[in-house]
Amino acid sequence: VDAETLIGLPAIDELELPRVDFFGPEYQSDPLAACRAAREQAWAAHTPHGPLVVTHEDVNELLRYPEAQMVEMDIATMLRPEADEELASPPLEDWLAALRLFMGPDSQHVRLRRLCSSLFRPAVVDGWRPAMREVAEELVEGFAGAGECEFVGDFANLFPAHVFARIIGLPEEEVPAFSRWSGDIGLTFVRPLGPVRERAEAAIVGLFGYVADLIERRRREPGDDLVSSFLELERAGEMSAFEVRGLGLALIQAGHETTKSQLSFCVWELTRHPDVWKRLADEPAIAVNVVHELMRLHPIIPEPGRQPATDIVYRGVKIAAGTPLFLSAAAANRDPEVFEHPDRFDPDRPNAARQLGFGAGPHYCLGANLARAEMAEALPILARSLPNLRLLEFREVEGQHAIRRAEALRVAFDRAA
Amino acid sequence: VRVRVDPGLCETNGVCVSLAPEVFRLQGDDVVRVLDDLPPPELRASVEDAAAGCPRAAILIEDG
Repeated sequence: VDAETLIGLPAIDELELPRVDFFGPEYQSDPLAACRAAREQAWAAHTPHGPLVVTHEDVNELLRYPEAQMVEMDIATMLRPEADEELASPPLEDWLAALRLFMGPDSQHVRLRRLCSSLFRPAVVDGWRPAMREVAEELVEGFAGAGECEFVGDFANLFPAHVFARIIGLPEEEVPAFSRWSGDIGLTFVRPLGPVRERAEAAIVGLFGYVADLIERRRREPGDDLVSSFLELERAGEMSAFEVRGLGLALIQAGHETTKSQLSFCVWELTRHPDVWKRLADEPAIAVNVVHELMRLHPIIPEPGRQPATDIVYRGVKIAAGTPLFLSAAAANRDPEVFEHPDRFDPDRPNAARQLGFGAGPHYCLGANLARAEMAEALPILARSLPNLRLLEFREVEGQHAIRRAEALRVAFDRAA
Repeated sequence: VRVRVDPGLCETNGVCVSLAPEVFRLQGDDVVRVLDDLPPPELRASVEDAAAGCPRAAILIEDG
């Protein structure tokens, strides 16, 4: 927008809006209630870290804002550091630099996104479905007879790691090693970091070491796999060595840990709906919609962040370049304007796919087709193999989460007939 | 109304297929297929949902 258009318009900071504090007691004890209270008064709230947008229409529109005018929020801002020194450690700085490859200048993002997008086309993903079922059946066989399991460790951590290892061409015997690190690296997104810092840094160091070693091996002996194809692009001058490493890291994290957490939240919610668990066993075709509905209730990235690249006018309000905008997918997903009885779990909800758990717009989850297929293939197999599923214990990592993390989900079940 | 998909924007994320399966289909293509570009009035609401829900805003609904 040109300067003249901006004259006389109120700035978003000057608007009368409700106040929300991510670290305050209300938000900490019940973030959805805090967002609901804000939404009843306005489309956004002020927080000490930047505006928080809470309606479905506005979150969707701002996520889908034209790429040239809106960039992804810088990762350090998204983490809402209460103290900058939390991020000032060499492993964390390395990790943030790798993540910024996907978040940085949008021309770079578009180029790297294009390099990876062919991995996740629907026809390609469909080709991996038999492998997904095979991995799921194998894992579930390991504990189905035991009558109980710790779902995060026994299944959710290993299933996407094995599937992704096949897709990007990592040796199966290395899955236990790298999945320990890639399954823990999301601890870097927990605030305050203090209590989990050691585990987070160990995960970064471990995964960086693994990826560096993998790149060296592929350099010596190229194969028909993703890292080798990146190295070919590096030789052709289309990718830098830093990008090869960063992309490898970010893909392993995004392809593994997000699905691990999302699937854990899905199964946790399903322990409260034995009728749907039974239906999933008998009618696997409902699984896709069930996944959307579960992600609607429990999006693991509750507030994706964006920052205008230039001054913009939105809803007649001036938003200055660089203003951190927290776009609450979690609140949007419970907006009664779009979802009738939003707090109710309805496996047949006709518009469940309007949930914003994968984000929207230019940064829409690159692996959404894959993640959705993995969860939709796994749930019916789990429901068939673990009948009469019951919750024993569920634990989330405490603190404020840019990405939510299931720590433990202990469940009991009967033996399949 | 007439329904169009912008092939330059469509990323085959398949959200429209979930919201309006009578109108959109994915069949191993790089762009979603519009099965019925002049959908009957009873499908209007779900087509509008698909357009609003498309992550890349690739679905266009035009009068006429």
